[in-house]
Amino acid sequence: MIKYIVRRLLAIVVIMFGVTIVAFVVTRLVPIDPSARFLGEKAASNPVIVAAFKARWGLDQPLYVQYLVYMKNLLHGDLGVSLTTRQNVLHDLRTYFPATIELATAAILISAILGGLTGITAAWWRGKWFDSAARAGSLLGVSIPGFWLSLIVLYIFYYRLGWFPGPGQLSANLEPPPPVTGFMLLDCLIAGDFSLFLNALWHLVLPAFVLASFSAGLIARTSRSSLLEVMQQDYVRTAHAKGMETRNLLFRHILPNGLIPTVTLLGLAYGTMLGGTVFVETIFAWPGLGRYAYQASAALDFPAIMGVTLLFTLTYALVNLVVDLMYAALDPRVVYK
Amino acid sequence: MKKVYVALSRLWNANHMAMLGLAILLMWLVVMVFAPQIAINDGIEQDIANRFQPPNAQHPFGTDNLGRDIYSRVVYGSRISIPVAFVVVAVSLSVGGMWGLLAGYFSKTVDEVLMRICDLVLSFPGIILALAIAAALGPSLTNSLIAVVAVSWPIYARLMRSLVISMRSSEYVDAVVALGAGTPRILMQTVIPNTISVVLIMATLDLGNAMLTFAGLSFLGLGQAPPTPEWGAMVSSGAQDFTKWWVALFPGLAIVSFALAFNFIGDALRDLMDPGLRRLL
Repeated sequence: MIKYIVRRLLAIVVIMFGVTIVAFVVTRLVPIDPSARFLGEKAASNPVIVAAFKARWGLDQPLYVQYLVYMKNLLHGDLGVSLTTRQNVLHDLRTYFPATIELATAAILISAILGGLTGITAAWWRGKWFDSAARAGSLLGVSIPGFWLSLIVLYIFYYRLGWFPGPGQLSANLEPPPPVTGFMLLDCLIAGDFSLFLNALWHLVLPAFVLASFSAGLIARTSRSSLLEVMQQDYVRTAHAKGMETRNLLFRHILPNGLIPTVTLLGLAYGTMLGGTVFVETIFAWPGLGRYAYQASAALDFPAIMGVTLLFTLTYALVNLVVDLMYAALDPRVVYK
Repeated sequence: MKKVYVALSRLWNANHMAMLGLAILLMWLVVMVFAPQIAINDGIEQDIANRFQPPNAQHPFGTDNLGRDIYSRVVYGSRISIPVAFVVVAVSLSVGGMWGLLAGYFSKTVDEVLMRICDLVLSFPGIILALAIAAALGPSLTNSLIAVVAVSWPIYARLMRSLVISMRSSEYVDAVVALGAGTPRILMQTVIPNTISVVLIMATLDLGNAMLTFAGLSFLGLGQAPPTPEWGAMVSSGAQDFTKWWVALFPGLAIVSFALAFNFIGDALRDLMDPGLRRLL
């Protein structure tokens, strides 16, 4: 098992290496002179400053040397300086990452619970009205773009009904807690301010549900069909025939086996969510990496784009590793060597 | 003809939603072709005095920030958004299909190299890579198309490769090889015709996704340049002030209806293809 984990981690290192190459090539696709963009007009007219800038990033060298310089800087934790925030990219990533993780984790929990329950209920009452409604609902979930749904729920639940707060992580009149972990909910608890915690939690509801909608639909569809498959198995029929109670049959035989394939979907769902944060965070003014990625790409801020891409891809790879390990833990037939 | 009828009636019995999907699709095709007849004006005409009008008799979907008629823009937008989805899928299918064909048919080394490249692309969260590519190439319709294709071809490569590998050991391929056919002939005349139906079903399932991804890039301002109407970009102009609900609502509904239509059809196709599940329906 440990050997397997080590091998997977090594594979992730190899993948990340490939990812840096792809990201590097992509960010060098346009022949924009980064020195002019970065230094500003005044400094860019000073040849000494330009030369120093180019030497630092190896821009006066051929492309493969530029890549090596980039990698050297990267391995020293130097991702460059963002053109938009004028901060070190690594610092930016550290600042914005927690908000995204908080949002995406809330969304994955919502989609697993909502999608799972819907799938189970639909499979149990297959062919009944709930099944049809669930089917239509889950197809709707995977057909609605998050950027549109964000606007619609903001209009209805914030502007019209006033049930939920508007964009942002906290109400504007509240003082944010001292940043200890960077995670808003945790920091509120650490500060011991429960009303602040509730306010932050309340702000999380709408964006998390919007972000969850796609995966919830996906999970509902997959869990329904895999449960139906298990319900057709001989051992379920046998258990039924020997008079096992329905509740036991469902919780001991059908669900444990039928929900395992759904677990593998969570990794994919998490990847979709990381991408979805670009839209949801932008609209909900959520200070996370998705919004940062959008602002960076709008400003052609390549060091920042590169940084976000690397971090998102790394997160995605690690989440997939965790999902595979969960899969093995849940299904004793799966043994990794 | 009879075959088509039988297939259609089976589809209807299996799933009323699939027929609904086909109906929506047909409606959009009609709108797309007869846009000049259906729209009120060309959708570009500005009328600043009447900006942000809520839906009324003159403007059934209201007007946007420049006083343009949103109904006409949704109608004309179909001429960009729908062909784009088809182009993205067609190009992804061709590139990915060829990629998978080569990987599946040729030696282990070729296979290994091609599939590792595939894995590499798949290791990015899709929209992030597309965003980076579209931003690097600069905002334009073509560049955002390239960006969407760049992230959507690998699934076709994977599918095609697995189909080809399972076919390679079949007897009819052995027979063609024994008859002395060359590689191009085997690929073109035996392998492709026997795999294309599955790949095309996959493509149908993917059309909705293609539209969603492209609309997303447009929403972020990386697609079609203004003032030409495009659904994703139109939703984006509604995002500036979500209290003017009609600006985003109608183009968004257009996107949803198109994606939903293909998901309805795809869902039914999947049920028909999967004998295990077909039994249960």
